[in-house]
Amino acid sequence: MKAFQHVAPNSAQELVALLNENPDQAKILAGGMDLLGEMKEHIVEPDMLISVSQLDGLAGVRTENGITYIGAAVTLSELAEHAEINHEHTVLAQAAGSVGSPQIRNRGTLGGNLCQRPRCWYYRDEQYACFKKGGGDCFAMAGRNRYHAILGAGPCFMVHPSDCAPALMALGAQVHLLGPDGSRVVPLEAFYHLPEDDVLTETTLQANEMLTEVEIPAHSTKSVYLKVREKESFDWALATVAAAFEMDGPYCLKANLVMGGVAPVPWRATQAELLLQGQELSAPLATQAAELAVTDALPLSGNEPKVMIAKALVTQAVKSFKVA
Amino acid sequence: MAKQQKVTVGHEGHYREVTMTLGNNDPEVWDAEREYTLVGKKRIPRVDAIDKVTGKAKYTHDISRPNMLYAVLVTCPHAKARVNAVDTSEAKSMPGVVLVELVPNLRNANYAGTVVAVVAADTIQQARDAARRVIVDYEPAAFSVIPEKPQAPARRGRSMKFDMDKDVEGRYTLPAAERGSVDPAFRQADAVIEATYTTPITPHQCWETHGSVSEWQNNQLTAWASTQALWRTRGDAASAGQVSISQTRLICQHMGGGFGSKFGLEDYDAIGIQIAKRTRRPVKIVADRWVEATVCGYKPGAIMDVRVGANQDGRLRAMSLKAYAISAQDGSIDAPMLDGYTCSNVSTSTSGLSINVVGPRAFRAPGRPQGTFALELALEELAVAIDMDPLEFRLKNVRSHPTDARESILQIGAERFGWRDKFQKHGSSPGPIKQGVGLAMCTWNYGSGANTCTVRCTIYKDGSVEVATGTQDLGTGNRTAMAIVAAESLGINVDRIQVSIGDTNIGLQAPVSWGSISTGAIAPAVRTATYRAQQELFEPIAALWNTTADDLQCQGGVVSSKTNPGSAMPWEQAAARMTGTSMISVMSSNRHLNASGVNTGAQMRGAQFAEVEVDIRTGSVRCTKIVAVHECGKAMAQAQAESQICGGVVMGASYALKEEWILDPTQGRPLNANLENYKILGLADAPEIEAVLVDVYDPINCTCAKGLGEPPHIPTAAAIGCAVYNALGVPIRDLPITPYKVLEAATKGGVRS
Repeated sequence: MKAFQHVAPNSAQELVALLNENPDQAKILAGGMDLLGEMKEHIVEPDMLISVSQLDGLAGVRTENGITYIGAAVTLSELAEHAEINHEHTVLAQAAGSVGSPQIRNRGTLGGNLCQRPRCWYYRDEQYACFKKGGGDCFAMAGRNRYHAILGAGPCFMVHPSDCAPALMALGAQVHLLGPDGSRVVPLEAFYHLPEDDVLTETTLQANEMLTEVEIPAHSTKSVYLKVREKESFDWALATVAAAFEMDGPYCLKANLVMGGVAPVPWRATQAELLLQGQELSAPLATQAAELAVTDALPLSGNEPKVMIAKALVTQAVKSFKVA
Repeated sequence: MAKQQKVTVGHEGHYREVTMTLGNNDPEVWDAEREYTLVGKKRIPRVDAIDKVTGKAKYTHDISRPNMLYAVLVTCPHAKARVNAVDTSEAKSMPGVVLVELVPNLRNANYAGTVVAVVAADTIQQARDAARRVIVDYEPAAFSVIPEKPQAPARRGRSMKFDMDKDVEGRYTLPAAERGSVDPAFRQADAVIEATYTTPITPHQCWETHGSVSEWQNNQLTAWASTQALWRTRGDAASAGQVSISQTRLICQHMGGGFGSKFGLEDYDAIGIQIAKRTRRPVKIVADRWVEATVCGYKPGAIMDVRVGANQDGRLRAMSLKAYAISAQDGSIDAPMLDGYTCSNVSTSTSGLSINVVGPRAFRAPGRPQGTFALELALEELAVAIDMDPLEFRLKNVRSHPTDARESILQIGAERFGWRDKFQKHGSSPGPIKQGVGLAMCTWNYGSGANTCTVRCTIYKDGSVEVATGTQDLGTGNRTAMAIVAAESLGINVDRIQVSIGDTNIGLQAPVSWGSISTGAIAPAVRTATYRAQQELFEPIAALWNTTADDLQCQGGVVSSKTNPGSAMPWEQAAARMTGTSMISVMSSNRHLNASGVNTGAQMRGAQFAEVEVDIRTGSVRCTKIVAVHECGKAMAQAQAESQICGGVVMGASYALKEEWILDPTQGRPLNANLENYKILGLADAPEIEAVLVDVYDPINCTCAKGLGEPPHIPTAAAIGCAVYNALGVPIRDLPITPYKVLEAATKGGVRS
């Protein structure tokens, strides 16, 4: 690992100022679960790590006027075990609880989970100069791509690895970003962008900004997070679905369906949502919604079954509301 | 002088009495009639358990010496390349760097991970940083990482058997393996299955990666190494250090697994020893995950063309295997066709398909998990073809013999598993989550007779006892087994026994821990040495009681006369009576015994029964239960033997469902030389395991102990493969059975919920 300077400012403003003074060279260190791995693999080699450890205000979950605010440094374990989150925003607690291993959840933060970089094995190997690293190729196209994207991809075929992002998107969450000129609030959907917009990054977070807080609006949905992976722990998803539905008896008033692990961003199944809204849920309707969710899928040579998994998860998620 | 003993041999329901001739100084054979106090009676905790969980046990990775240098490897990133030049000038100028050594005479790198140079520095971080500044001029060349089956037929008449004398780095000699005439038999069979089965390359992934620490003092070399072979590794260290063997000491007190990959020093360890010699500083060199996965060997992948034929009544007519081992060189695949089932017509052949990876190594029953998967799944398909319960089908094709317990093992396993209640016809499980059950047999050769183990038993005046030999404990529990055997033999408590192993300074030879031979070699040596030492201790007491030493016994810590129960004294008191000496020390070696008409050629048998749930919507497979029934002759250490079974099963389930070496077709590099993408079955995925030991008294030595290291790993993947077939009604003939393969097979096979 390249040697670096470690600083621990006392305020978020100070932190942002440091970022602003050291564009491209400074990285924020919270749990370090993703960043340290990247540094050990020489994928990023920052000169400065700015720790959030001395900052107040990034920890804790609070509710005001029905709106839930979650500090960026809240750990995934805290989220998974938080009674109110479990009750009100079930999908988020389930998603956070499904991340990695207990050790990772104890260290890893919500902010880090939302801002983590791709797990693509070509990206994570410094020997491959891929698009994401400023190179001119996507090696997954002709190479091994079983874990890669089936939707929204190109020129890079990464999948966004976050579990919390699809969950929060299904809950209509926004993120608070602090920069040198103050704070801005961005809906999660606008926070992430496709490789075709900027292949070097996954989010609209600027190099001199930090994610401070996540805001979940008041809602009256029930929600669920489903995940399929090759190992039951310490593994990334083949596909996930985060679903938050507002129901009136058997009728679906509002459907939010966001898929993870299938696209370079958390992937909203817009057509499926439209189909379900106002409808009485049924098994055939669930199947139809699942078909619509993957209707644009363009699998690669090695990941065609991922389409089936995504479909199965959407079907199962929709059916879970019918039963409830 | 000779004495005779009536020995009850065989297994439950198949006992037989034979008369064996033993030397006058030999202990009696532990047979089925013996009243055991510890062996097979009690589950004794690992004697080093507290040391291990508290971190007191020192592994090679834990060794740190004053003023020690850390060595880091420079490895080739290309699958195949010519090494034109290496520039070490920048690396040498880095802070803390002491030496940069090139691998001598390296012209071509034939796999990604080929070690090119070794960098030694004051800290591991400095060494790592400097290793990145070694500039190598590579000329990449065309490579191959996708094996292709050749058109020409494979060589005939080979099967695999460990040859203990000739083995070098996990190579095997291959005696002929053919009987009868398969072609006419296939024509006469009522049903024939012909299919191709494939298994992946799976690298060794020892939790304690390969490594060594070496230190010189006054031209004496001391090396700590994570090794399965103390004495061979000592020889390697001596030759690397160009010093005599007698001036070289090798220590391995504890190690985190070997599985066949740690039979000697690595070439880079040798460079570490030379650096230590030149710098007069200790050198530590341990593999990181990349090196562990790319350099330290693997189980070869396999492409296996199998043909099996049977009559409608379930009798096997013919079996044939054409196997191709996927590795860097000529590998071997070994299906248990000759020794697994009774079948008159068998033909096997195996040859290698070469790709750009490092050479293969022995891996827990080399060649056999692959072949067993292919054979057992083919037999399962054959059972379906003749519409016979797979258990009945297998029972029809095994025979009973006092020391061949296959039939009993199948029956016991079926009973414990509840086979007759659980088995439903293949593909008949309703709903989206399919239940399935499957079973597979296990056979493995055992060859410890050829391996000398010498144990020294020392009884001290205070009644404490030391047993010592130059073995190493792979993690399997050698220390505990030795303590138990000694305590059983002497009739005293386990806590009175001190076990000394893991150091060549002990000066007593023990075999390499390979071929599942350790316990079977060590236990009879411990038994013999403790017996003889005790006889010596008994002499003055016998004189006191006016009897002979062989009339004396020790049970529960009390020495007494067998013929006159009134004569008795505690063990400690007996020990205190030794005169003119402060200890009695006896060295004895193991000895192979023969009892005519009962020896089976020393096979170890087993069977495993698997239960799975397969979700045809998501492709997820869960193995929920394994009943594993094994015999290792007589198990010396019950709890550790059961643990050994559990470990083999977990490794086998991982092989069945998760593990696979993935090479990038575009560059030839591995894409999963880490524990993130190289998926190993975790606790959350592990099945409930019921480990069942069957005693088979096969008097090949005075304890009837054989081995258990490899067998439990052999049939697990096969049993799971059969269970998945039973669940889906469609066989998946390609390991690992991943969600994608399930979905593809279910779609193609029209499996419905």
